[in-house]
Formats: sequence, structure tokens, C-alpha cells
Amino acid sequence: MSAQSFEEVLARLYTDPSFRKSFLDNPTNTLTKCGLTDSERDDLASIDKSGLLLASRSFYAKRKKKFSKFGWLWRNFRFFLQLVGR
Amino acid sequence: MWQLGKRDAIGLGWRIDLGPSILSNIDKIDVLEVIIDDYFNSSRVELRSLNTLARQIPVLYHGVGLGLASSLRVDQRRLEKLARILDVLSPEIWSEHLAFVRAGNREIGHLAAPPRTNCTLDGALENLFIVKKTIGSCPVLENIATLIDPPGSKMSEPQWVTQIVNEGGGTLLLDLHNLYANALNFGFEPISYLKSFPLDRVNLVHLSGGKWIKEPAGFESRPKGELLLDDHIHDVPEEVYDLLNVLGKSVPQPLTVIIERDGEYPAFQLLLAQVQRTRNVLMEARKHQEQQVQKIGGSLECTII
Repeated sequence: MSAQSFEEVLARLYTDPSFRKSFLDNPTNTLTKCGLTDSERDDLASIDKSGLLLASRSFYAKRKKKFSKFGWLWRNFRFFLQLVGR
Repeated sequence: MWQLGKRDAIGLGWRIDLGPSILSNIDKIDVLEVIIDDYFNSSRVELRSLNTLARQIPVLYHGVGLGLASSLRVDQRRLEKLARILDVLSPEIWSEHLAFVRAGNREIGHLAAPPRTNCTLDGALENLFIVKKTIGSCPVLENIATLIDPPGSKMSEPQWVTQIVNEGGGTLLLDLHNLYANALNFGFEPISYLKSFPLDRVNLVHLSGGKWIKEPAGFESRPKGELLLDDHIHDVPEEVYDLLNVLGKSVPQPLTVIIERDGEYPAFQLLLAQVQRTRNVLMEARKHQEQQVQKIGGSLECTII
């Protein structure tokens, strides 16, 4: 269960800006109620902060693009046009 | 028609914006790779249109959203959708990433590197078992690029990937730009890093490009204050062709190589030139390999040169 909690916290760090800010400001307090072992908290406290910020930025850009419903419809419509036109 | 896995094949990722140009130049490309997640909400009729494409050229299907490499179980609804699609398409080969993409009802939105631990290793093997049971086949597994050294990791990336591929009984889609970016971002020499992967299990290869991005102010930790982002919107760098050359010299099995480009498309002739360049690099590597075999008068197994 703890390994799953660890992944959940990691996913939250990647996707939740206020949680990430709180973590960067005060990792110990932020991680207290996350259901992690001491060693997992230590692992997260020593996280590669530069990598975390860049990865989060990259994931945000991907989410923005991916969950645009209009983009999905447009891609499929164009695919149809190409096949029909062929 | 070209049969995959019989000899080296070079192709492109199928993208809507490239579709007309690909279809007009289909004789210059051996194989296409389609992102299967783009068709998750497609009807059977729409899916059959992909089969029409597959009658013209071999098509590989590539998944990006299963989240196999996780201590969390793979999303059953998503898996069933994938099973339905693959049932209609009946592909020879399909592939997925060794990544986690969601946890605790949170979609990360892209491929994230999980902590490389025994838990995620066991989780990935369990997920592969579930996938095989539901779909009837295992995906070829792809290494991912990461900007962050996953916290809590107890194994190196090559060790972790090797164990999953070996114990899962699968093969490897080696993304050489992902490998190159990880090597540079985490302080490894790219060719040595390449050689620490299970090259004898590689049957698919991805090539792409990226760009250097600055570390956030106040958080610099790399010597140059930059990391290499694998963005798929730049040309394949020379160093990645060099890695392909080393790979081609090291393994006897045929390789299917896909060039991935996701945007900022250059003139299509330039993409075709990259396809040809890839073909030349691999042919040169194979020629070198044949000469080595003739010299020693034997057959070639996977040799780390």
C-alpha cells in the first residue's frame, strides 16, 4: 500500500501546483499526512527539485494539449477527410 | 509486402498532419506506427479504415496511456478499450511504455518515470500478466525519457528495464533519443549507457529529437544549468544516429526503426531524407557486422563492441 501512496504523492507533486509549492516550501509538514514511511518521506525530501519543476511544466503542457476535446475531434475529422479523399 | 521482423525496416510515425505526404510517398517508407490511443473512441468502421491503411503498408500500433510500470493495477476500462481495438486491428506487433501515467485518480497527462524499485518491477510484471490475459499478447516495451531522477529508486534504469523485459518474457522498443537524453541529463556516457541495456531483446527502435531547456532559477543542479527535453519537434541529432550505428553493429536481429515527429513539421522531403539517412546508417552498420563475421568465420550473436 505504501508503494502506491508514494506514487500517488509523486503524481500529486507533478499535477497539483499548490501541493508542489507547499512541498518545496516545507517538505516535512506537507508529507506528514500522506501515509508514507519515514524512508519514503526522506526519499521525497531529497527529490531532484529542478527535475520536478521541469517535469511538472512538461506534464502540464501535455495535459493541456491532450485533454482538449476540440483537438481530438479535429484530428479525427481530418483523418476521415484524408481517407475519403484517397 | 514487407514483412516485419524479417529484415531491417525504416518508417515514420503516422500523424494526421503528415498523412497526405506519407500516402503520396508510401514507396519510400517501409512501415508506419500509429498511436493507438488516438482511436480509443473510434467506431468499428473507423477502425477498419486503419486496416485499409495496413493493407498498403505494415502498421505497428503504439500505446501511450496504459501506465504499465506502476505498483498500481492497470486501469481495467482502458485495457478493455484497448483489447477491443486490437481485436479489430489484429496487429503483428504493438508496443507500450514502461511508465506510470496516473495514480490516485490523477492523470499526469504524460509518461512519468516511476521509482525504480522492486515494487514497481513486480507491479509492471503483474500488469503485463493482466494485459496478456485480457488482450492475448504482450506489448513490446519502451524505455522513456525523464527530466527527473525518480525519487526512491533503488536500481539504475538499465537494470530495472532489463529485469522487466527478461522476467516478463517480452522484447524491447529502444527509444534512442530517450536513452540519449537520460544519459546526458543524469551524467552517463551515451554509448556506454546504450550498452548497459539488454540489446539482444531489442526489435523496435525509435528516433526523435529534442532541445535543451534551462533549469529554473535558484534550482540549478547540472553543470551547464540545462536538461535535454525529448520533445519530438526537432530533427534527430547526429549523436542519436551514432547510437543507432552502434546498435546495428552489436545485434544480429532485424530492427524496425521509426522516426517520431509530433509537430513543427519540416518539408516532407526533409523527413524522407531522415528516413534515408537512418537506412544508410543501419546498412553501414550491418555491412561492418558482416565483415566482422567473415573475419572470424562464425555466426554473430549479440556482441557488445
